[in-house]
Amino acid sequence: MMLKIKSLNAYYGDLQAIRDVSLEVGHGEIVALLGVNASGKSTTVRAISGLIDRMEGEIYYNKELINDIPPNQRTEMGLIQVPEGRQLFPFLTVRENLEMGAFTKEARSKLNENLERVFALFPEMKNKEKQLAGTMSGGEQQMCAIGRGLMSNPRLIMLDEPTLGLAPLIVKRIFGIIEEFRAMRITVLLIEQNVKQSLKIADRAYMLSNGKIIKEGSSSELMNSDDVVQGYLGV
Amino acid sequence: MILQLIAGGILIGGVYALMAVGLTLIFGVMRIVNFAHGEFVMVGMYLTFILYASLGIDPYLSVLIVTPFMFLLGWMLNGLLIKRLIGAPHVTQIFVTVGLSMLLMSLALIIFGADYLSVRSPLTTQVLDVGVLLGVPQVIAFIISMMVSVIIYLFLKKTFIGKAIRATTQNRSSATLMGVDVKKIYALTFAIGTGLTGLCAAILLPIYPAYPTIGLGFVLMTFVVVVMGGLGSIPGAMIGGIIIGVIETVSAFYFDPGWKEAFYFVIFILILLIRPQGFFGQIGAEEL
Repeated sequence: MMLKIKSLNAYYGDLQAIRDVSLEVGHGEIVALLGVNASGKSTTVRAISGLIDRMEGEIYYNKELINDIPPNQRTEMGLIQVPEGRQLFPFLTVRENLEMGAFTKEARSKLNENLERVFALFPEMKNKEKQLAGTMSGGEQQMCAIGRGLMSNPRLIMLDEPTLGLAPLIVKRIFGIIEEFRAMRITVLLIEQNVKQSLKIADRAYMLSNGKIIKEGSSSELMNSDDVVQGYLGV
Repeated sequence: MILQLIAGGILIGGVYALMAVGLTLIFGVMRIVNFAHGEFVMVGMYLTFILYASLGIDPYLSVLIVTPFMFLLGWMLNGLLIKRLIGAPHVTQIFVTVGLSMLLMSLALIIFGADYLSVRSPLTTQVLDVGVLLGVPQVIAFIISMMVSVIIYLFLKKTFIGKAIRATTQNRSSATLMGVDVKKIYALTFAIGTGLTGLCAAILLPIYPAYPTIGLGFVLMTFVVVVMGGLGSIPGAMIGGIIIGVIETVSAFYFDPGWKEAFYFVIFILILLIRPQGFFGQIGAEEL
């Protein structure tokens, strides 16, 4: 297993955001973590990245317990998060944002290679290289954010709601690109509210509700499960 | 006469600019309101004086000692004190940094007394005549200040660490996700800002005498410059510093040196009314 989480509890102050969450992501898999707003999806990825101050449980990355490893060092290990809401550096140019993605030593040595890869996936980023990231449209910002994640030379990329609030055409394109990660040998943990599209590209999925995992299984199992169909697919 | 005053104002304003570059970095990147910035200049001036009085080191040479010394002092103070203030309410920051400034001021008073201490470099009394008369120490101070400000600007724009500093300013948690050790960036920023006060101190001592309260005037002035130029903007600090230098020199001549603060606070308020983000500030940047 590339990523293994055991009985994770995470808190914001006294408020418990997730309860006893356990999940696994295998090498080369696309695993979806699904659920509605405020179900604890973002908290889970933030905890995996080390951004939550108060948490219990165990997080293993490539069989190593990483609970005590500071967040910036997790990035150096190839455990990359593309955060919800893009979180670009608004007053840096697109190019500078992408370069920041390649901040770690290893990523920096592959900067040009990865930059070409990003420009091949998102040609519009090449054209907007010199534009301030904060001045682009939401879809373009999302491309830049995913591009920045790729610049970090990820082994496991966690995408937190990469299609939230975007136009259908761009949503489709982004799901397509996530599928391409498979060929790039990048493992994916996809956090989404868009259950239908996510299940189409994912190997397996977990459903979160009120901070707990209420269902897990292969995508096809979940797609045919009654409560998922009724609760999320709206059929 | 007015040309003479303006020229003198521009030259001394260059040093104010460099002082403000340090403060705007600390303010812009760390969101720390550092009221001890002026006292750091004061400490640097005394250190320059000691090096001159006991070892006979020329102030312009002691730049090479005082700047790294203040850099290390900044790094240490950050580790002991300042890092605990990150994200704290401004009131807390002001209490702590004002407290630090009082401590440094009192220490200076105990150790050196209230006398004015000055140094004489062989260059101190020389004057350049280029239509207006320019003191050589002022010209040197101006050139060094502008050069170093430009170097800092390029460092932030072009180097990987510089970009990481700017990125940290704009989105701390994203910078962490990029693999940036944000705490180290803060330590480095504070050390650079403080190191620059050492540089300012060494090039100012041939112009101004050192005394325990000299930092008070500097810190008020640099805050005005920083807000005027736009938080975190190096070009803003450079232009703001020069403007304040000119206002100070001209108003001191036509009115009274005691009025200079009144003048630049009027300008300060006007700028806040007309262009709250400063000359080069980005709207919204202060909220990040």
